[in-house]
Amino acid sequence: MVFSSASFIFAFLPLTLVSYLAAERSGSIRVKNAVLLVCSFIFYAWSGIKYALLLCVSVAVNYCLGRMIAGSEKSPVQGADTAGFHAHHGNGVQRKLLLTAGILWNVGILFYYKYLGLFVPSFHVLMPIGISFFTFQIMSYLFDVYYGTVPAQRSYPRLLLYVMLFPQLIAGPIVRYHDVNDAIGGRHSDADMVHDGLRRFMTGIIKKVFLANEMGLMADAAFGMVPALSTTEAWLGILCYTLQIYLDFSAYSDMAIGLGRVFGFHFLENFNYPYIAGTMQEFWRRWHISLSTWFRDYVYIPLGGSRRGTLRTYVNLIIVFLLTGFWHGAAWSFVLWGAYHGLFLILERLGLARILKKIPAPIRHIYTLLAVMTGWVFFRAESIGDAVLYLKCMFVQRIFGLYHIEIAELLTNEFMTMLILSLIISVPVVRIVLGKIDGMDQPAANAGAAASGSISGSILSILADLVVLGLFALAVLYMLGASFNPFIYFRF
Amino acid sequence: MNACRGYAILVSVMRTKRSYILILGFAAVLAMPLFFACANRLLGRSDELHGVGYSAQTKEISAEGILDGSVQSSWDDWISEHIPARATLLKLRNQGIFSVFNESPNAGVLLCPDGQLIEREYVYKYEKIYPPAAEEYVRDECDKIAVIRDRLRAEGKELYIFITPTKPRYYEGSIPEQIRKMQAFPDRPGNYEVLTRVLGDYDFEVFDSVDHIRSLTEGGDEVMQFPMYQQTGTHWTWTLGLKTALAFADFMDERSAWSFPQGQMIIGSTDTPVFPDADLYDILNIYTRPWGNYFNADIVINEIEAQDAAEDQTGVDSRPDMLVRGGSFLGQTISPLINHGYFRRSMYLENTKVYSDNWPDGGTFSEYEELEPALSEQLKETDILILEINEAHVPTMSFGFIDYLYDHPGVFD
Repeated sequence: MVFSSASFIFAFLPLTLVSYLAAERSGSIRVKNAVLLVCSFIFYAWSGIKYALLLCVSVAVNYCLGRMIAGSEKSPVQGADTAGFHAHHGNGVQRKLLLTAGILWNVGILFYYKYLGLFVPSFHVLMPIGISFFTFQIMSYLFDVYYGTVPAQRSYPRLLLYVMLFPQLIAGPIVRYHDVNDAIGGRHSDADMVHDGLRRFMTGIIKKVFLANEMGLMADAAFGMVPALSTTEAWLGILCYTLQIYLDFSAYSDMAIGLGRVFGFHFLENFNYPYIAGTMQEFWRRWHISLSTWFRDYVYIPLGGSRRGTLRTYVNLIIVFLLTGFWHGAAWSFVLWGAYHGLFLILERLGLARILKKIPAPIRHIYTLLAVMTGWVFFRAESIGDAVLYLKCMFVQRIFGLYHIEIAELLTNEFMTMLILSLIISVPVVRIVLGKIDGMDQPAANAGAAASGSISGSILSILADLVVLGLFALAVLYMLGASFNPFIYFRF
Repeated sequence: MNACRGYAILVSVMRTKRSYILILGFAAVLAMPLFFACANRLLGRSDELHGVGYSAQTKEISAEGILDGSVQSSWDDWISEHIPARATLLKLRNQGIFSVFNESPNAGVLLCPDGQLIEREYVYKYEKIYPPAAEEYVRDECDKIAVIRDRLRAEGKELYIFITPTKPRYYEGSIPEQIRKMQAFPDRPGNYEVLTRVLGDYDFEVFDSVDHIRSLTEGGDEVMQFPMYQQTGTHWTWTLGLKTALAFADFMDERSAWSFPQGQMIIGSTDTPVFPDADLYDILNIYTRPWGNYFNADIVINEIEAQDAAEDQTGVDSRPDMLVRGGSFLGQTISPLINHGYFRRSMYLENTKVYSDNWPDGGTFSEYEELEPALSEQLKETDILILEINEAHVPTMSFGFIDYLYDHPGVFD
């Protein structure tokens, strides 16, 4: 089920919200979790019950392994924090074996459904949606238990809820177990949380329906015409794809984070305006944060991080980025995309970052944007060959102007408006404005300090909410008539 | 001090209210379909959608289908198609696009800056953005038509070719420059030019309505008195269609073994567009009223003359039977002649629809074999066969009908 679909907006979501409201009133965490679990099961089973059952089985295996790992240690986990992250306790060999078994189980499922076809072309099997996301989530649980960051979950339904929680199940963000463990055990939603959550959710829908989809149409048109594109068309296409992938994925994260908040969860942010980064290192601190931190904590640091010498650091970086690329898709173009980013990070560590620091900020941003946009060509193209042809259209042939009606007919008033809005949304202008409005709305420290701005701030906040509501209503209407509504990250 | 405290309380109350306003507003958006469905029912109104729509088929429930999700997927489609007040919601959406961006909400229709609506497909074909027909293909089809015409002649039957233009021919100036300069085949002659050049090498009876319109417009507006095309339509106006129909009847009368009565046209203005004068407007599915000065028209025939044409000296019905293979242009044009009794019996194949005594309300078909044996029976009885060739469809002349007749010579026996 897709968030921006009629069945979700008009059927699943209202029923879930009403059910959860009733559960919230009961005050029982068991009831709340039960409602969320049932709804999440229905949500995932909508794409096939067999996949939902597979997920249940996989979580059961991880549940048992987690208990066994915890049982084989001398339980130092009460009050454990990240300081004990790499501490090894108890029977180290047994625990390592259990962790290895868990990794093999989870990666095995992922490999079977996602990657086996790459190595055995005759093998075809439908991939459960969101498999990469939930596999990494459940693995984070095993790692956290192994490292003693959290105690093993005693309740199977609670562990299942952690993995199956529908807001983040199929397109992230990759929620780490230790981030939601407490909330699964007890949480409460108040009117402010619901307000903030719904506004965030609506913002996501608005971004997705109006901006990401519109940019996606142009990107698809351009990439569908390789290699006959003019230079202008190729750059227009990659600009739109650059905007689409960010708006699409961050919109889904907005929806997930917003819905999570409605249900009392606080998911961490997944994006922080990546296109304003001045270096590729900074880009990766702002892009798909939940994935990059996952790899940092569970792959890069265990490999030794940057503590084992320069060469080893570069090797570790390349390994992490090759895996990052491979995580995105079972195609060599994704691996190349990962290697490309890894190479830039190594170059920046080798001295490029120092040079970049000395040059004016606008040039730094242009460098980063160009590098990122060029990388997206590998990400979006159907094959490495297509990517090379596309890059040729961008950089080698110098034919300017529009030559394809498929592209020209998309250059409408609507598209130009959405393009400008997409560019504005990709930088923190709106966040700053909304932040100021919300800041004006914050209660004053004492009554005497209640400046006249508070009242005007409250009025502005209400007006901002009304604008969001109005746009949300329009987005829902748009959604009903739109035949083009893909979610890029669903296929991961 | 009290004023400040009161102020702080007011701010706090507003914050709380703000949350509830948003939550209620969110609920209201989710309830939009129900709201509009109730409002429509209370007001006794309903909205309809026009144009080609996709109709989702719900998959038969099966354990395998539920396990792999295909059943749920079909339910998804069904839900989105059966939302209460869906037509109202979609029209609101389309109206928003139309009003805010001044654009057509239907991807297949181009809204020109001057308000002219034109089908994109016809624009692309006329402007040679899509490849025009190859002369070899047209010549090959004409060779087949010649064979068919000879077979008909052998049976004492007649064949006419009726050429129809598309709207961009007359409103090219309305089309945005950015589209016009996208010509991919500027050096090749257009469909109409290829067709007329090849037809010049054959001795078919050709009614070229492009020539006919040229003769009408040469006299200026006072001669025309009505628009060729409405801004809101893709076909020529109902009035021009009638005028052309009468001209075609005269054309046949001069060349045919059968006689056709002379008709007169009466014209009046109307607020409500007559079909097909707003057919493109209809598929925009918006609330804005159609724009244009609309006319209604009808044919008046001298009854004595009609009687003379319809009966021979012995009082037997002497009107010809007719079969037409065409599209919507000729459908719009020939139907008044059929309705005014110019033919004894008729069968009209319009795109994928068939109208005849057997299918008075219009049956549908995809293969000509599906129409058998009625098609062969009608062909045996037919005295006049008319083939429409629309300039946009020269690359698919007569939609395979020429090939069907050529490959099935038995249908004339």
